[in-house]
Amino acid sequence: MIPRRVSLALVLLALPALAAAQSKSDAFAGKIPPVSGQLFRVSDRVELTLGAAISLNDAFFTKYFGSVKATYHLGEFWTLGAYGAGGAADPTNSAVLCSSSVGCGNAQQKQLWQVPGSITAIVGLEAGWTPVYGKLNVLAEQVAHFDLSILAGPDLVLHDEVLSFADAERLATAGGSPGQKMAFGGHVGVGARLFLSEWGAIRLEVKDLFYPVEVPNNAALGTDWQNQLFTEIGFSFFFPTRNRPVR
Amino acid sequence: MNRATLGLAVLIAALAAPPARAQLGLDLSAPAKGQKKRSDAKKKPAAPPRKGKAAPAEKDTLPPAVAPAPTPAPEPQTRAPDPPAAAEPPPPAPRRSEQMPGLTLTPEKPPTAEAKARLEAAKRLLAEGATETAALALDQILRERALSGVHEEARFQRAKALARLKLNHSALAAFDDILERGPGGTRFFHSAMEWMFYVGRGLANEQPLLARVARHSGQGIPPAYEDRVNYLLAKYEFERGRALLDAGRASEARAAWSDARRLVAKVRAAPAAPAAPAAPAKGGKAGKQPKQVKDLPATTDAPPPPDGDAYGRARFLDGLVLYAQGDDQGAIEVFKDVVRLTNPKKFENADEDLRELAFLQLARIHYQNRQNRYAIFYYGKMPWGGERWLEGLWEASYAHYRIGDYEKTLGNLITLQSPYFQDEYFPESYVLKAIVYYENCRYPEARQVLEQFAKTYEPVYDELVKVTGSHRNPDRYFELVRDAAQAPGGGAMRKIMRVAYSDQTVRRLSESIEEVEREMDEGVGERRAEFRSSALAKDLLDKLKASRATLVDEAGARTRAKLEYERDGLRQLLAQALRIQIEVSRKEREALEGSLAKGSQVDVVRDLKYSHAVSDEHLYWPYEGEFWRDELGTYSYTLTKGCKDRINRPKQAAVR
Repeated sequence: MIPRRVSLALVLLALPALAAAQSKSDAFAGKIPPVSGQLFRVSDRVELTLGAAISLNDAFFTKYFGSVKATYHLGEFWTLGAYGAGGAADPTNSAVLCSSSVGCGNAQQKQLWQVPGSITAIVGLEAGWTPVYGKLNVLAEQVAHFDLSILAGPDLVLHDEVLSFADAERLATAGGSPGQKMAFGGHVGVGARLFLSEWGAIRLEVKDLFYPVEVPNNAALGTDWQNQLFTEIGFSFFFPTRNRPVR
Repeated sequence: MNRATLGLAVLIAALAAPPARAQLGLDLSAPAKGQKKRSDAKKKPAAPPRKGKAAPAEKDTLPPAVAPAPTPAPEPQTRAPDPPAAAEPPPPAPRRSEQMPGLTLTPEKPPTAEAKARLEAAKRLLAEGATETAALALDQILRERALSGVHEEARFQRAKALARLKLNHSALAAFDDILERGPGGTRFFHSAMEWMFYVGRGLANEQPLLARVARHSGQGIPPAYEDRVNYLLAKYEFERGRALLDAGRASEARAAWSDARRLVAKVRAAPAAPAAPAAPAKGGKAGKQPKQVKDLPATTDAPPPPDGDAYGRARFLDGLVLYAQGDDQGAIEVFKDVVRLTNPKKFENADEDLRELAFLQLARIHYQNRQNRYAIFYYGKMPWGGERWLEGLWEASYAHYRIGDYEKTLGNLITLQSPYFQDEYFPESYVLKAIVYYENCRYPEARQVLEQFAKTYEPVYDELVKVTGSHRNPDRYFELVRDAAQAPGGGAMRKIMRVAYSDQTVRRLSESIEEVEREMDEGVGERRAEFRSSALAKDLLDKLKASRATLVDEAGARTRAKLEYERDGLRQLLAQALRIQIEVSRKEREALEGSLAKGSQVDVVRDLKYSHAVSDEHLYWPYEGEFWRDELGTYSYTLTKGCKDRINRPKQAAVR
């Protein structure tokens, strides 16, 4: 763990530099642990997180998901977890088509059926590494304790089938809707917890979900790997609700 | 306050306790012929030596490589001081020339052609880097009487080969063989002296070198090493003076310290220029002198002598001597001078360790003279996390206590008693903590601290009584402490073992023992089979074993003395804690009686004014039971309740 009380932005931006600086200036580095008697210990505890996620920077669909995640902390640094998220995928405001004849207008449903990104649910596993535990000085007299994690894991992604132009036209005429497809993918991301008490914490995550999808309109491409950025905020409950005694 | 003073006296006694010097290769007898001449020099009248007075200069007084042993009490026995003995034992006297090839008693014959050829061949091997083979060849030459004409040079070349093989202790013993003959007895005397310094640089501590310098320097010093030799001799005289004082020979101690000052004054500020080839040894054999030039370390593989580092250390030593002579003001000026000399902003490669020591000594002298704020200032100069930082923090706690800064006193104790330093041994910190609580009418807290102290340290005291009361060989004491200190895990007993192990003398001896062991196991044991099975290797191992046994015996005796000292100190602290506990009970009873008499609660403890405000340079971090290592040493306890009106000062839990 790297103890540094600097702004969160600095922590995120300059972690490698901080680590180097610390080893140079900290006389005790390598001799004694950076933190002892840690106030918020997560080792051997289960964390249940209820959260909400929103996708970022997808040109066609914005996903609004609710999520639940169960995480077991193997120690202070390592976690294993499983999670599920689901919700709606709404067309974005940027899904606009412009032509010289009719001008610009929102993309029609049948047009949106031809592009990927309409995810409706995700379930997955997740491993986490939490190398940073820190505290922030807030308004001179308050202290916020946080940790930072790196997350990764496999996912099963449920999304709308991406149709070809012809199939989309046909389906639109018939008044149907595209089927659902499942794809195996994965995600990597970073997470942070802001500890409020021994039993609760605010959890923030940003992760990149990647999964393969068939895009018929682009036969040359074949299977296209999609990257979807998600940001998630949640509230974590820890069980048992008190720190485990240090062995 | 009286109790605090008593506690302080214990601390000071710990710092002042003179060690058993006779174990360090010091000669307490009358000065030898060469030394007598020096002692005849004009001496300044010296102030009465201080003994029993708080002695800040006693603990960690010299840089690690040269520091005299610190805290433990002298060995209980009052035997006459030992005759001179090196930290590393001198080589045993030869019994027969066949057994000791380096010390043949037969007169050297003029070298035969064969002898010359053999020697040249061996030297060629040495020059080509086949050092092991060269060492064996030279050793073989020394074992053949017929080749005695070249034994003198072969002896020197073999010692050199051992030095190049990094068999430092063996090499020193081999150079001893040469140096014992004196400049008149061998033309390699000065070269051997230079090589001795060169080999000494590779040792973990200077003690083996110091003893040899004291023994041989009277017979001539290589010009390039004059400063260093004068410094080492001064140090030797200083330690000798302390040992003499311990032995109750105050006037002789004063003479030794005067000698030390005289020698210190000879150390020049500017480093001596690299030496020209050493002057031919007087009385050496005519016609062979030019060869000596080739044997100078500077012209072979030895680095040049260290440049100028002796001056700062010599000045520091001067400060110690002045302090020992009772001239506190003079000592302060000298230590300030050392601080200036070691200013890293002004000098490249400034000796930071020496600077730290100078600050520590300044702090202690000011503390001793009740100049507490000066003391705090200098204690604050200890580099954070440095070797003496924790010690400085602890001693500063008392200075803060003296000026009524209880917040900082308790804050420092938070650091000392943090889990980070659970292996450190500061039992008195509990007593000081209890005193602070007591003086602020925080009786429950005082009682709690004392109970914790008794619970933790009574078993330690019992164990110490058991250990020191049992009859075991000195080497068993050393093994006991070394094993305990190096074993993983915690425990108060292990703390005390670590303290014993950290005693400067024990540590130095232990370092030497480890070096000797390493030399036996790796230096000799891991060489190729031809070397390992040779007569040379057998001789080396025999000498190293004997050396190790002597060192272990010495370390064991010293360890026992240290454990006895800690036992006695702990007994005093436990008694002191008991007295405070009785006093706390009395105060509590008085409060209760007052309450009954008035029919209401007696308000002993009042709310104190406090603020979280800190200066612009600091940040406030409340202490909530969590220790951050970068906060260590910055804690300040916020006394929210108490019975003493104190000046309102900013308080913070941890400031950065």
